[in-house]
Amino acid sequence: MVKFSSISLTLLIFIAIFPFAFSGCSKDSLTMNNSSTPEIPESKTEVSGKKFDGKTLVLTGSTTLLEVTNSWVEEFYKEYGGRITVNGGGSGEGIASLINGTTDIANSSRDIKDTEIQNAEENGIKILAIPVLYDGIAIVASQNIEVRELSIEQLSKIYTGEINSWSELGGPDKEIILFARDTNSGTGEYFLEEIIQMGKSKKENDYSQMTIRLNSNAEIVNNISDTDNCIGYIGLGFMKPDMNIISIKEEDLSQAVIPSVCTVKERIYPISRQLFIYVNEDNISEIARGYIDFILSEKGQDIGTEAGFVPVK
Amino acid sequence: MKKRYLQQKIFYGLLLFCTLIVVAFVLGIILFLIIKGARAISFNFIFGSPENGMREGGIFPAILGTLYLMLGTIIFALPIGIFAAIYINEYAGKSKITRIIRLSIINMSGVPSVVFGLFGLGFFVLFLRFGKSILAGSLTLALMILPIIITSTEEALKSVSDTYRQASLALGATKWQTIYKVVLPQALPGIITGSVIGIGRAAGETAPIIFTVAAFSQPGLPKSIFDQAMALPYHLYVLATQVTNPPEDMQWGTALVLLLLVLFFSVIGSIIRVRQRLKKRELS
Amino acid sequence: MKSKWNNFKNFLITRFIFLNGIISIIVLTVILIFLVYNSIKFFSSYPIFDFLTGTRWSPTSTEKFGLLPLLTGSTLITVGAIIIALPLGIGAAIYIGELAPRAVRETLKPIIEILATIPSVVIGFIGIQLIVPIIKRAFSLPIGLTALAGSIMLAFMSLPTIISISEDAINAVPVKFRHASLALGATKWETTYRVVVPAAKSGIVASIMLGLGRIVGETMTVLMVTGNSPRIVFSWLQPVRTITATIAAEMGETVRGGLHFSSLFAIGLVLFIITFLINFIADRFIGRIRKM
Repeated sequence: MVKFSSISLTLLIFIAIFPFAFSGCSKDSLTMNNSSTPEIPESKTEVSGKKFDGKTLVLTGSTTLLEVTNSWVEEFYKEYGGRITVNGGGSGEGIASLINGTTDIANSSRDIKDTEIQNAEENGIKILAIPVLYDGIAIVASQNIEVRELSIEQLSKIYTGEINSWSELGGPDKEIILFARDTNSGTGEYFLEEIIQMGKSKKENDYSQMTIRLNSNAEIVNNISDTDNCIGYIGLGFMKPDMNIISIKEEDLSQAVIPSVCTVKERIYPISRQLFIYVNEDNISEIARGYIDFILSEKGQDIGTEAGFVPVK
Repeated sequence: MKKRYLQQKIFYGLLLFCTLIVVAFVLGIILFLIIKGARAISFNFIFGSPENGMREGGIFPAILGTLYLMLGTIIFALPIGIFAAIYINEYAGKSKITRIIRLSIINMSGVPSVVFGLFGLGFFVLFLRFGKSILAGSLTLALMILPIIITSTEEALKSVSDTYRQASLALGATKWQTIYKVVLPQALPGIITGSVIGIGRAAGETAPIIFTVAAFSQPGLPKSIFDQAMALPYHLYVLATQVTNPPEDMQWGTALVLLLLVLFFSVIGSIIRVRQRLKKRELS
Repeated sequence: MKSKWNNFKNFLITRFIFLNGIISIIVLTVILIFLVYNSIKFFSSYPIFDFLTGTRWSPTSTEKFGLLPLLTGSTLITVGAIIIALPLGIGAAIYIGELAPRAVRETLKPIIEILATIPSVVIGFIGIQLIVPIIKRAFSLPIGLTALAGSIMLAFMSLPTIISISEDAINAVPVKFRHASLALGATKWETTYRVVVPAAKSGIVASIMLGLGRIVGETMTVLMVTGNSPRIVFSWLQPVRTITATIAAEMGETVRGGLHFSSLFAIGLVLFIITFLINFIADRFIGRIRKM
């Protein structure tokens, strides 16, 4: 068992270093990927019974990952036991807790910052990043809007309020009603930095004062479905076929891409990102290792897919 | 003359209308909670763990966490509150310091619960390094209900007739012995009423526990006071706003259980108070 | 020897009880110190002027900590709640105190007491489930999570305080006032309106101030029903965000010790000062009832 763990850990580090090595949309790469990790299903049979009873595991961080983490933990607990606590707190809080030693695993919806790495080193902690899922953000509009595609720059202008009528985009002469996620949402922050501020090239940009903030993907979906002239963003998993999904262009002249599992995985769709968990490389407990194996297993990744994300494998 | 009585009728009607709105609101809430919540209540809901991303299963960890917190809260708040009331009523007299104490009790009960939460985070979780834990949460809640316990104990002490004190002192008992053996037993029902109401209040609070104890989810139950715990009010908040598309039944059920728990304590408090009043009437 | 020990023991007990006696002073002081200490830390890196006059609250990436959107949010909701609660509360208090037969009064009082015990998170939940959809449909809004929803729910939450204290004040008006007025030929309503209510005025004002304190400090309900959008708007049909909701929503989501973290203590201090003033005024008026 110990031997297995070290193998799988090496594998994890490998994944961490080459986050894109396994991405790919073709069937071949998927199957190849599966065959390269035969240990995972094996581990399940090997550790049947409540293997981690009494062992503690604390997870803190990204609200984007909070729900799927909860589902992972539920399943993991059923199979392996353990005393597991899940906290929100956002990516920054998660990483800070990891550095302070108050959490075992930090969930994060962004890359670790240089200052955080430095801070960790000063505390004698070597942070290991493990990509766990991809996340795509789809732009949705009300049914009455016939605008089919938007560029990142247009989106940015819409959300800063510079473009405030659909007529400027070839739609009806109606004011655009903006929906966004709450100020404490990781998705909201990501959207601000990558879209509204256009990858931080326009750092002074911010959500328009008139933006309506909502608590969850579901609320955005519900509100857009019964109100005209709205635009909003949701996680990929909340897309339904009857929605008015807008294709996104990186530049004015580039081709518009519709969000899907495939385009997100290939990173063709411009509004997508990787989600990570961070651990202290020198101090990964047995249960943490088991948990990481679990979420990267087929079952774990399936749970991720159900929650609306794109698997890393 | 007629006009004046007509005016009276109209205004009486309006007053009754105001009252009816308030009553309808309260009864409406309770009715809705019972009708919609009852559908969710089952053995598995009360004694099971959340499943399928909180969309199925039960809320037992949250109920247990809240019970732990109530216990912890009263363990800290009761002794401090009783001693504080003893000081105010038996020792302090009418000095300047009593006035300041009274003023600060009033102000303490006016401090918003979220400020207690901030303080609990700053002081217990971070400064004293208790971490997010049942201990930190209980202490925060204890501070919050302290004014309730102090005021009700003080009233109970006041209602104990001075003749008892004088008789005890005349028999040679010290002041502390008098308080401990004579005054406190007499004041006990009043103190219990206050504590019960205080616990009920603590059970329903959310803002003070978000940063000091509450866990989003925790499949294994807490084993020590340094563990975090789930709590009913926070769980309802999570279900209502943080989880995408949770079934309505789960939410209404959780709300109903929380309401019943809180009401249970306040009803017990009222019963003790009423019985006490009746007893006094009989005596006098 | 034994009496010496007893004396010492008594001394210890007295000291210990004294320490517990002043616990409320200690706690209040420590809370204040914590708020002020962290606020000073915040203002040393973020100018207090920008904080007080800033029109944007966008703490995560642009690091703008303007108080005004939160203050207008809190004010809007509070004013709305008081407009709703005032007639309902005083009306119900007069009815219960002056008109209701004894049996009715004894049933109404516990019902209103129950309202006081319903946890704020349950009220917020009811707001989301029942009130918010109604508001959305009634005004055909893009979203029902508005300041109005917050005002309605908070109004009801403040009612138990307003009703019970107003009613106490009305009951405290001496019966001879009423007799005198009735003897002079006034109707019962005229007596209530011209004699009893004015006489109970300071108690009623105190009840409103205490209700106001409850409204301003309420957290979970506003966090759940007001839409959480920190922006400066002057309409009750728009989503807003209050000071309390900001603390509750963001404190759990920020890195401890950072600028954002200390900014929440700064708005906590603002909240503390506001509620302190409200309670102080209320206490003044309650003092006047006692003198009556």
